[in-house]
Amino acid sequence: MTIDKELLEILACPVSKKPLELSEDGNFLICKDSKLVYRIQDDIPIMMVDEAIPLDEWEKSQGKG
Amino acid sequence: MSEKPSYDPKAFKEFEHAGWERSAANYHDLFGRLTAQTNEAILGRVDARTDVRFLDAPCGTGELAGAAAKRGARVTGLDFSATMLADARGRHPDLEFRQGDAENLPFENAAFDAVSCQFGLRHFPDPGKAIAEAFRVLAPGGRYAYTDWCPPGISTFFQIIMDAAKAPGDASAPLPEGPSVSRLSDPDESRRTLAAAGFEETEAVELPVELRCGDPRYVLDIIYKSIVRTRGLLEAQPPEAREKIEQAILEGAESHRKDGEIVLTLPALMASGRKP
Repeated sequence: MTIDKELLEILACPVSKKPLELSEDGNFLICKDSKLVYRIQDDIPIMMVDEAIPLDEWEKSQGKG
Repeated sequence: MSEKPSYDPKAFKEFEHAGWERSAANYHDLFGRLTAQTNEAILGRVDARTDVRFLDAPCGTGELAGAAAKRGARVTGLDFSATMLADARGRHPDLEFRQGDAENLPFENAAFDAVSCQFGLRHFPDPGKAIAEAFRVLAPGGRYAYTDWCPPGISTFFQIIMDAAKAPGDASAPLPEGPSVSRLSDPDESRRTLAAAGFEETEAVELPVELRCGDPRYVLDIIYKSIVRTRGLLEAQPPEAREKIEQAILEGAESHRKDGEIVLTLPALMASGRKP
């Protein structure tokens, strides 16, 4: 991933305003607090609430459910 | 300041989003040339210099973000339109962009030293919320500036459009209504709004912006290809009414020809403040 680490640190969930966790594959940002997952597409995090994936759905799609 | 909106915020947001997706391809070369005339004033006011953490939201095609990076600022651009961001990224591959909503910023508190909103507030269902979010993500001492267009009367560009809209006689376009824009470009109102949001050292100054062209059809190009609300007004008209409005815009623009060139003024109000 080419996302700047320092800038990733200031990124927060638009709902909870809490810090996000980067997924292992580097393609998603996870908010445990609001239970929402945000995609990273072409190095641009998609921080739109309308486009966020519910955490349980995302875990299932990742084979973790 | 907190009256209930008389419009449907969701319909307004959808209208704006669809509109900007459509205008992204031509924005930079048309309307972007006008908005860019305020770049240096904004960057000076928010003190965007070396190592300043700077957020521009909405960033559109990234012109202001690029100008801030040239000054050495650490730049983040945010926009709700994926198409606008793709254009911004193509022009400025080294800058950081986020897709998001300026009314619900995806950043921690106090993450930036400078935040700007260049002609964005009138496109949000709740401009006050975007100002409050800017305040939240600013560090103490950080600066915020926004620009909005001065109204017809001050602006010959918007005067022409307003006069032309009356040409068919009954301009009753079924547009999704949005927030009132007059408040944003009124110097006293804008300072009051910023003070109410917690800002100090508020200031409101008028910035000159000019549209110069040889062919009045350029004005219609700008409206149809690179902006949203005025195009929506025109497209909502029946064909004969729309033709009359277009004709009136062309004639209005032509009436401002001087020494062979059409010169329209569309000054902007820049309102700014500092977080205590």
